[in-house]
Amino acid sequence: MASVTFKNVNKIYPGGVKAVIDFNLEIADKEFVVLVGPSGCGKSTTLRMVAGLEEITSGELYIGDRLVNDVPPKDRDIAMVFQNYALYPHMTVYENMAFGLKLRKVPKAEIDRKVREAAKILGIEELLNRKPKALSGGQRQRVALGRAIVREPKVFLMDEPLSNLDAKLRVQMRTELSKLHKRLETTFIYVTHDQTEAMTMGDRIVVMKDGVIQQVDTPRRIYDHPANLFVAGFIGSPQMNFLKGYLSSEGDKLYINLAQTKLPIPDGVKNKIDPSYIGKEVIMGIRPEDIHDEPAFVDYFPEYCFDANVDVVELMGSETYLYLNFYNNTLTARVDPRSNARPGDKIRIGFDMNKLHLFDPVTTKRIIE
Amino acid sequence: MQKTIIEILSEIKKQLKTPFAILDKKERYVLIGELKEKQSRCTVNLCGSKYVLAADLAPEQLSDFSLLLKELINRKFSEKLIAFLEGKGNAIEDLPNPCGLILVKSSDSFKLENFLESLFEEMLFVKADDAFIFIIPVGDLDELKETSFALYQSLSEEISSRILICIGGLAKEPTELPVAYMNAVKALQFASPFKVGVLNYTEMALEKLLASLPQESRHEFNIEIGRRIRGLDKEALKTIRTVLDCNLNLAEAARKLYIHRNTLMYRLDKISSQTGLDIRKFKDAVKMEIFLTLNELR
Ligand SMILES: Nc1ncnc2c1ncn2[C@@H]1O[C@H](COP(=O)(O)OP(=O)(O)OP(=O)(O)O)[C@@H](O)[C@H]1O
Ligand SMILES: [Mg+2]
Repeated sequence: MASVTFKNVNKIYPGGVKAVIDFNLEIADKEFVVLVGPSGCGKSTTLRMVAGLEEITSGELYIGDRLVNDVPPKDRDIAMVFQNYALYPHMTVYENMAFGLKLRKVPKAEIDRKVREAAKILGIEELLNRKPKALSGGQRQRVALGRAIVREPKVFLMDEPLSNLDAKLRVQMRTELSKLHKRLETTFIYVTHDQTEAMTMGDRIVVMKDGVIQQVDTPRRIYDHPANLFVAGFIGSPQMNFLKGYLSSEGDKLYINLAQTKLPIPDGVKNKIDPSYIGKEVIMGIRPEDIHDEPAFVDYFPEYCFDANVDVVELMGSETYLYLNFYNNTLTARVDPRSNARPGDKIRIGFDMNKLHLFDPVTTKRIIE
Repeated sequence: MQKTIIEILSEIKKQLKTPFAILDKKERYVLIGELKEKQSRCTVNLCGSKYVLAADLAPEQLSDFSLLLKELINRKFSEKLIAFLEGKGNAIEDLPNPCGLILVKSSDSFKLENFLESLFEEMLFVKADDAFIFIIPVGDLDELKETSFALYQSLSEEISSRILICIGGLAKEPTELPVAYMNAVKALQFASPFKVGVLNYTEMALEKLLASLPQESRHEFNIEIGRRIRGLDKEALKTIRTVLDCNLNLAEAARKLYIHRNTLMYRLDKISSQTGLDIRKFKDAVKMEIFLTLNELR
C-alpha cells in the first residue's frame, strides 16, 4: 500500500513529442484514481512512468516516500495489468499466476497460498489446472489480474484492461474490479478512454488533454462542475450543449442573452458568478438532461422556456434524444420516452437554469463559483 | 543438443586442470571424469537445461568452478549455434522440435537467465549482436505468438523498458531454424528504432514487398504521394492512421479520436481537398496505407 506523488513531471519522447507536461498529482494510499482523456493525451505514458517502463524527462515521482525516478520496474512494488493480456500457453493457470513469485524466489508453500487465495477472490479456483487455451476471454482476464494480485503490489496499474472484452463482460468486470479494489485495499491507477468506466469506478478522476491535467476531482464534481470547456464536453454523453451568449443585468437581476432569447439566471447561480463578466461574452453550457419539454416544467418555469424546432427524434428505449434547432445551433435534449415531440414540430422547451454552466470564451475556464 | 554440449564439454575438459564429471537430471553420467571418492556436487544450468556437476573440490570452490564452466560452455555453444543459424557451421541436431525462433531486443542490457529458468523447462537463448536469440519448444505458430506476447509483457514488467520481439517462425526440424533466424533478423531490420512490441515476420507481407522494391521506385512513390501527404499537419496524419487502423470504420475511428462523426467527416473532406486523396475511397486508402508503412520502414 502506498501513495503515488507526481511533482512537476514531464515526459518528452526522443523525437520531441511532449507527451506529459508539468504533471502534479497526489494519489492517496488505497485510492482508486482513473486517468481519462482522448487518444494520445498521455494517459499510458503517465502510467508507464509510474511502472518504470518510461524514463521521466524531468520532475520527481514518489511511491510512498521513496523517490523512484531511477528505480527499475521490478523494484517498484507495482503490478501492471495490460490491455492485451497474454498468458504463457505452455503453462497452466496456476503456473501463469505463480511465475512472478517463483522468479522472486518466494518459498513454494507461500506461492501456493497466495495463488489459491487470489484464485478464490477471482472465482477461478476450478481453472487452476487448465491451460490458457481452454479459457474464455473473461476468464483469461481474471487470470491476468490474478497474476498481479499474487504479487501483493503496493500499487496496481491498469491500462485499459477491459477494452478487449465484449460489452456485457465489460460491465460485469467493471463491478468486479471495484469490489476487488475494496477488498485488496491497495492503490489503483486505472487508465481508460471510456468515460462511463471513469465515472463508475474512480474515487477521483484525472481528465487529461494534450499531456496536461485539465481537472482532478470526484466523478460527481467533474460532472457537475467541469473546470473548463474541454472537461465539460468530454465528460457526459450525449455531450453538453454549448451556446454563445452574453450576460446583462437589469436592477439586481442577471440575464443570459442567447440570440433573440433572454433567460433569467436564478439568484442562487447569480451569486456564484464573477460580476466582472456582466456585459461580456460567455459560453453557456447545458447538459441534455437539463433541457425539458415536459408540460410540468414548461408550466412551472415559463420564464426559462422558448420555442425550438425538432430536427430528429432518437428513441433509445429508456429515454429519448431530441435534436433541436435553436437559431441554427443544434441542441441535444434527453427527455422522457413519453415525449410526443415529432420531427418537424415546433415545441416549447426550457433550460433548467439552476444547472447552468458558464465559461470564459477566451480562457475556456469555468466562471461560475 | 546434448550431443553438442558433450562435444563442447570434452573440448573444455582437455583445457581445464580440475577433473570433473557431468550428470543429467536422472543422475546418469553424461561426461565421465576421473574423480576421487570425495567429490562435491551442484546443479548447473548449461544452455538452458539442468545438469549436475561433480568435481574434486570444496563446496565453496565448486560454485566458482560451476560459474566458470557455465560461462565457457555457454560461450562456445553460442558460437556454434550462431554459426549454424547463419548457415556457416555444422547443424546442431538434437534441438527441441518443433520449436520457434524469436529475437528479443532491449534498450537496456539485462541478465535473462533466472528469468527464463523460472519460465521454461527447456529453452535456448544466446546473445547475438544486439539482440537475444530464443529457441523455444512450441507446438504451433499460434503458441509461439502467444508466448512472444506473454514474454514481451513479462520482460517489460520485470526487467527492462523497451522491448521488441521479432518472430522468425516455426521450425519443424532443426534444419529449418536458419530460415527462421533469417526471417527474424529481417523483421528486426524493418522495425524503426523506437518500435516496441511484437513483430511477426510471417505476417509482414506488405513490409517485405515494399522493402524489396528498388530505392528508385520507393522514392518515386514517395514523391508522388508524399508530396501530397507531407503537407498535412500532425492532427491530419493521426486521423488518417486511426481511420486506417479502424479498417475505414468511421464511427469507430471517431470514437477513438474522441471527435464527433461530423468533425471526422469535415477533417476527411479537408484532407481530401488538400491531397486529392479521399481515404473513404478504397484505392486512395491503399495508397495512404502504403505511404505510411513505407515511411515507418527503417
Ligand atoms: N515511444 C514513443 N515515442 C514517441 N512518441 C510516443 C511514444 N509513445 C507515445 N508517444 C506519443 O506520446 C503521446 C501520448 O501517448 P500515450 O500513448 O501516452 O497516449 P494515450 O493517452 O495512452 O492514448 P490512447 O488512448 O490512444 O492509448 C502521443 O502523441 C503519442 O504519439
Ligand atoms: Mg494508451
